[in-house]
Amino acid sequence: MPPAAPSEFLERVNRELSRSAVRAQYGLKHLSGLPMGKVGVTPKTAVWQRDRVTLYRYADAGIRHGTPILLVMSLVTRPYVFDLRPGGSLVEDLLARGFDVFLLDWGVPDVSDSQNSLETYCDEYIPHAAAAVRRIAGADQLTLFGYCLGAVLCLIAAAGNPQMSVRNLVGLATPIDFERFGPIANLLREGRMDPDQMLDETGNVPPSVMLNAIRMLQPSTPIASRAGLWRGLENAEALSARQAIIGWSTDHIPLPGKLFQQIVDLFIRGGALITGRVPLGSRMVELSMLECRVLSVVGERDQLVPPECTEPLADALGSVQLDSLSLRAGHAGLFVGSQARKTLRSGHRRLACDDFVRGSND
Amino acid sequence: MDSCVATVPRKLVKPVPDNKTSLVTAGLGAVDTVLGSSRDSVVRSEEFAVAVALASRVRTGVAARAQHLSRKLWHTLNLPAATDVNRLLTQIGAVERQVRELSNALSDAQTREG
Repeated sequence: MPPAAPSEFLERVNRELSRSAVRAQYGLKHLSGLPMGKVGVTPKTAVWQRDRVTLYRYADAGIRHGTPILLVMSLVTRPYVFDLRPGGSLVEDLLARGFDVFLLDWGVPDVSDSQNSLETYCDEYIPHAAAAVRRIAGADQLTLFGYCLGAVLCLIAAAGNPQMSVRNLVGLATPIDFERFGPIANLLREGRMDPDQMLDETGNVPPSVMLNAIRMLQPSTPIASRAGLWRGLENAEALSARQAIIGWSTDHIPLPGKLFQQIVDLFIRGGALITGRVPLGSRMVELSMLECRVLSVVGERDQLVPPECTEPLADALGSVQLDSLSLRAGHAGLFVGSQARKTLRSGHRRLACDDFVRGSND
Repeated sequence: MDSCVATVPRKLVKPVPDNKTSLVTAGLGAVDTVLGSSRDSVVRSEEFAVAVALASRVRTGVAARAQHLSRKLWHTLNLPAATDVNRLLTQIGAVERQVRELSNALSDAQTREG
């Protein structure tokens, strides 16, 4: 690139200074508590509850597709990311396309949830919630839509409980090969670190530990976030969007200790998901026994669950019909934000409109 | 979000037009490119793994030792220590869980019958 002329450089510096002045004004407002807008604002109603788990149904006006969608969040982050902000909400998109949308909110685990296991989630909560969804929506089948660890739970639950009548299963950033999960997973796999060391007095993995493990995978994220904040300070809308997603990405919840130990034993050390054979209770669940179609969506820029992490899914599923979609997005960017929306338009269409998630009675 | 826009004077909302990459962005991009690969190799290196494992063990060991000492101190004064409270918390959690399971079993049975 040829060097810029001095006048052009000065003009650029001048422009940068004037932008910085605007940013500084917003920055002061930000520091003094500028309201950043609410998250998860699409109206919803609690329709079922079990222990700390709540099933919500979003406003059901204009349902055009017969098969309801059940959104299943990962167990370490909060589910409002599915409905982050008006104009940047997966729920909003799905409702606009005429789907009946349900959300499974795990709540915030405490000491009484520390013994929640894979069986609690895959044999109890998800199947019961699926039954509630079918009953409330008056549908014979449903679509499971899992994100990250939520997608893993959906796979195991659906494979182990054929009575759930799952028509389609969508997995976003589904971790299968836990060997590629970074330094902490390696330490746990090699036995250099004991899962017990990561539990707090409630018997759960505290959010701070999860956050630190994630930061080891993305060490430059805090710097990039601050730089992004600085760039976004010149525009209230951009600032609000950025704050919402950064707020969510650091808003972790505790992971039940027993489940964490199972994740370490079965998935990290045992590679159960790679082989497609997951012990659940007293039986062996084979992912290849899934009776539904599966759509796996990965983000090319996802540093937490990179595409290689999901690659073994095809082998694990065997003859199950698997569609794969690779998007130019990061972990949360798979469905959040205006830029992601543009990037994912083709993906969303395929996910939600064209042929995948449609019900039999459309 | 809407309230955010509403509380900000209009003159602040208007961004300064610029079609070129900002100097800050360009600078950060360059730094990230230079440091990115070495950063990744450090995080994935054996030495880093050893350091993290060691730090974790030291932290756990120090915490256990501190807990032991403070427990002795509080018990000398005939007062409960944090570990006693935590043990009670765990027991309450276990009882709460049992009640919950019984309640769920009852509810499931009623659903099956109904």
